[in-house]
Amino acid sequence: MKIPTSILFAICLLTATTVAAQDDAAVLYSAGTVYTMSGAPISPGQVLVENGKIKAVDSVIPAATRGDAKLVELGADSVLMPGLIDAYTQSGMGADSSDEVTKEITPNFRASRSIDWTATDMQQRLQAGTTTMCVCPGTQNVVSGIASIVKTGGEQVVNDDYALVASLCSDPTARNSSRQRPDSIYVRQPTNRMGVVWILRNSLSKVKQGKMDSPPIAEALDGKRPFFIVSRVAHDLSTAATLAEEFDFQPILVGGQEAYKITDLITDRNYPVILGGTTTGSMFGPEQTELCWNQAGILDKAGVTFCISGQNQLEQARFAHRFGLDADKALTAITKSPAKILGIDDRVGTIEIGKDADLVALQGDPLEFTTDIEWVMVDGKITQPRNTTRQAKGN
Amino acid sequence: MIFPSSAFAFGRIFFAVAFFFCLPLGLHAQETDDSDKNQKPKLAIHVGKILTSAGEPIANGTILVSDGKIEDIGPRSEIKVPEGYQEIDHSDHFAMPGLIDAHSHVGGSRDLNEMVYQTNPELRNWDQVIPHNNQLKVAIAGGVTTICYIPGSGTNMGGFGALMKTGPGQPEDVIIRAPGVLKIAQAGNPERRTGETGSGRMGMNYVIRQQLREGQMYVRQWDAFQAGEAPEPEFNLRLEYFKPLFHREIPVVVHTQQYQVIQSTVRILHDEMNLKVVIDHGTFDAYKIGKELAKRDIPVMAGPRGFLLDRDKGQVVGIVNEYEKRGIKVLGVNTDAPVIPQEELFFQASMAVRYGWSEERAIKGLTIQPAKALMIDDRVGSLEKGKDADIVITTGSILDPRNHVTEVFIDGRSVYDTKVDRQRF
Repeated sequence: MKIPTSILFAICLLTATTVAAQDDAAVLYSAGTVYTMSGAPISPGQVLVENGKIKAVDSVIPAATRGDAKLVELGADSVLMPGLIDAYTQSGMGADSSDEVTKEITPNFRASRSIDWTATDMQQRLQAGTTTMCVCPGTQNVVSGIASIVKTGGEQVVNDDYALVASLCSDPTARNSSRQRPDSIYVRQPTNRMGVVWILRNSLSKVKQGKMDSPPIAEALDGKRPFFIVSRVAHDLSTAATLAEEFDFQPILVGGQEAYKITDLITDRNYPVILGGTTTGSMFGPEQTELCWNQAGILDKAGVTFCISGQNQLEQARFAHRFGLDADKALTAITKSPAKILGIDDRVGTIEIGKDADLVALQGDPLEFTTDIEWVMVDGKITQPRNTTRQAKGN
Repeated sequence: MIFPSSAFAFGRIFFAVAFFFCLPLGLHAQETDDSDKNQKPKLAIHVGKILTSAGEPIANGTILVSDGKIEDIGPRSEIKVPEGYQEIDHSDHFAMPGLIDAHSHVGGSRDLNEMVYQTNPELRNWDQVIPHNNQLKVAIAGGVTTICYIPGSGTNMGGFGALMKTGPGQPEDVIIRAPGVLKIAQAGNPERRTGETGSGRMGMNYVIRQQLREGQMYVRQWDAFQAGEAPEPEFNLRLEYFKPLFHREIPVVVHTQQYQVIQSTVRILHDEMNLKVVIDHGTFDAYKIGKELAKRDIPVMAGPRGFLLDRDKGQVVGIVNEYEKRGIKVLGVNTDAPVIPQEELFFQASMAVRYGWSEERAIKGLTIQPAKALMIDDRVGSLEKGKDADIVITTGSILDPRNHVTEVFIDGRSVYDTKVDRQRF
């Protein structure tokens, strides 16, 4: 007997709505293993969620605490882990609209102003387990603006006015280059790295000297605002350190594909690194960076504070683990560590009492390539039932 | 299995014993480890013939190396090898100072020309140094140990360059001086058809003078302030690197060639601005102004185009030798790598010798002369006591293309050794 697809779809919708309707009421999720990321995994484990927050987490939550919470059995193989956190992304800003290309210094532009909450890539990130993202302006100009931290489920901004983002790489030259001799008066500096370094030095210097009024830059230099520097190749990362010393600030390095080559420099200065993706099918990364598949493992061994960003973070963590990063470190690198680097570890990143109920439910070991995501919860709301995930994967 | 089982068991016992000895010294041992890492080897290199670039060649000589420097050098009979020195036998080989290229673009990333403005004194290229990159590894196999890494000639004033070693290490280990030189390019390459003033030669001479004048005024204001004769001038990051330039602590290397253009080089940069000028290239008929350069003691690093058909004589002449005839004292060659591969620096000198240059002058033209021109002859360019142990071992005179480099030391460390590494050439 065949059931029409439309009826199946209706049933799915109904299920999803029912679950969503319960978001304020207490629900007890009972899983095979709970990776709290604040201690050893609890197996079996239970997580009590109420009003979008985590009320309790334990092997067996006592009846007194549990009250009349509805029990949801996830199964013996199931895993609950914190929602994933991406510390650097342009997801949600829409393709090609995350950059400002007419001016090199735009420190007042803010990512949150141009987020499309219904964007497909935002939904895809959510389906892939990412519940919190730091959305950053693009890299096509030198000082591109202010990053905003948002949740992927629902229109929720965690920190509207977060880090200042600067590009210390070849990206800002991409659209300015005249290739050979300038053939137009509209060609603009920088056309190469020397120009990028100069424009950044010049603007930092001017702000420091009081010749240019830019509160975001001034705050970034004073340590009152995090300062993201996007650099990938080793010499650009070293230049970030050179400028940090010249102008006395503490950068957060973003990208860092060749950070593994200069771990001494990074640990000496204690710069956090937001790794721009670890998975690869090629020898070279962006800007012809020489990739090392165990870059995350090398950074970890050297004692660098780092996290893993990029599309499909679970796959990233699996890849990093596959090539040498310890299992718990691989999971930390997409949950607790990015939360710490972004300074939002009081709210997200671990499963602990009082934190946001941002959870990912899986059927099996999260670092196993065949393990699929069952659902993703943001603030107590299960926003992504499984079968839609399947559809998205087919895209 | 690397060890036979008995040796393995012994190894374990040995490890246990060693562990106990180390235990109370934990911290100390770690310090020793660190210093070992930074410690440079102590070497006694015995060589058949040493071309020092600082006097007569030494037959059957010994070079003592410690702490990355040449501790002593002389005939083997006169040098006593102290205890603990590793002896290296090159008694059937030649030794010479590491080769120095006064004009190279392969020290780092390929960001050579920032093309928008004609003068860019605010730019610097040492942020993009990539030590021991693939081109430099090959350069070492050709005996090149120091390069002058400079911006390109796409604009009149390409920016400030760095002097660096070709060996391994972090940028701060390999950079000898940054800012090392200013790069200026005249005529030819910077010409353009649009943009700001300075598309042709008159315009370029104008903007270069204007830019240098601005820098000179800035430096004078600061000098006056430091001497207590004037109020503090306004800080200008864009003009800061003009300070060592106008204080004559660093030279300006000039992409300049042809009689007419080199005249303006001498007139503007030397006579008017009183800068330490190095003629890089100086090709075509530029040598005809050689006597004027000699009068002013201006170094010439000629090439990579080494010959000219002299129509009056109906003869192909070697440019380097023509400069030599006109009395240029500090005279060398360059590759403009990657125009000519970095490792073929020696061949520039070989061909100059073919056209009449003396072998002795050619060896100096590869070593001490560029060092003098670039103002780093206190550290490199010759094999003398106290200088950097940058030593090239060859099977004979490097000017003869039948010979090849067998070992290269940079700062006292062997960085290329045909006994261990693949012989590239």
